[in-house]
Amino acid sequence: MNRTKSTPEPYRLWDQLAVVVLFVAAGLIFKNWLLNGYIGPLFPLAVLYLAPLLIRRIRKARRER
Amino acid sequence: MSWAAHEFENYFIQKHVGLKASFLAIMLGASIPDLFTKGLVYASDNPAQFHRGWPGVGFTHSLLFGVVFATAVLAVTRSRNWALGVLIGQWAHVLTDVADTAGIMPFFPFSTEPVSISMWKHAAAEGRYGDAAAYYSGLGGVWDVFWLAMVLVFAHRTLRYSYFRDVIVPADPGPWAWMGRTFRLPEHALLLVYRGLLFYGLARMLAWFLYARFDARTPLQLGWGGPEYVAANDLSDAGWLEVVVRTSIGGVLFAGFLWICWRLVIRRLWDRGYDPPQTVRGTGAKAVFGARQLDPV
Repeated sequence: MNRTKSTPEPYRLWDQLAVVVLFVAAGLIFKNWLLNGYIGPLFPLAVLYLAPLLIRRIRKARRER
Repeated sequence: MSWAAHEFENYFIQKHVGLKASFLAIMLGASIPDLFTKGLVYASDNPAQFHRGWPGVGFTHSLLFGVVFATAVLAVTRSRNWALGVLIGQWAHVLTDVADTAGIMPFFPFSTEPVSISMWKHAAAEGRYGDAAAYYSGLGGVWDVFWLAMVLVFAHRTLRYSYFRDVIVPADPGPWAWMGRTFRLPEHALLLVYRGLLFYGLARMLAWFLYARFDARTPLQLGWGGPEYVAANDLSDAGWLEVVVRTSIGGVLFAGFLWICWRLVIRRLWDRGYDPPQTVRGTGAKAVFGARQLDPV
């Protein structure tokens, strides 16, 4: 029970809702790829984790240059 | 066919199985019936017959197909959680698809009579996009909303981070650890993989609905058996009594066959199978359900 309280949600609700909106918009453009294929379920991972990770790495690489 | 309902129902099932089945296996099981056939269905001359009938690939939407696949998984992996997950996921997909006009053959090959409640039209003959537009112009879209509501009202705790940590991962520690190691994903990234199907279902539901209203401009016809602009495609002319009789006979034969398979093959595989450390599996229905008493959440 204590563990439940000590596990904070890593993603804000608004961020997740924004992903849904983005997913719908992208889905209307890339219908077959995002709304029918097996890539679609990875969209939240790409937007909420991989994209920020990539941005951080690019910024870091620029600073180091 | 159902669209986002196949994604949403996985979380509802998860709430009831808790540590006793793998969520990844439930996902796999729910996608098996359409995994290898969906592309071919749209290219077929008679999509409804090919997708759900016999001759055709309708056997993928039978309960026996799930049993065979789950038995193979049990034989290869020895994981009871994976075998059960695959079985439950596939059966859920099959039972959900009973709602369209093409229906399913639940007890194939003991009965090839399609069973359907004809809530909305199977519209694969309209092509991939036309199918989506038709589904979200009839009661199919309502069916998706129903399953989304079931998840958000009765199974919302399965979406929490704490549930992912305390139930999802312990029920299936190997594959989640492998995913984390192989793709260098921390726990909060794996959480997004777990929630991915919910996002996918939501986006599909909203985007295809918008597509139907503003791009395809199909009429919204929420009557039983709609939408009416799609041609009727029932696979059988049999009356309801005939369907009940044939399906009942098929059901009895299926149950008998399952019992023989259990005694001769599946029980041995089950006995030599293993459970993850935190899974306490009872007998009978408690071997599958009764998640509440086990969940530490």
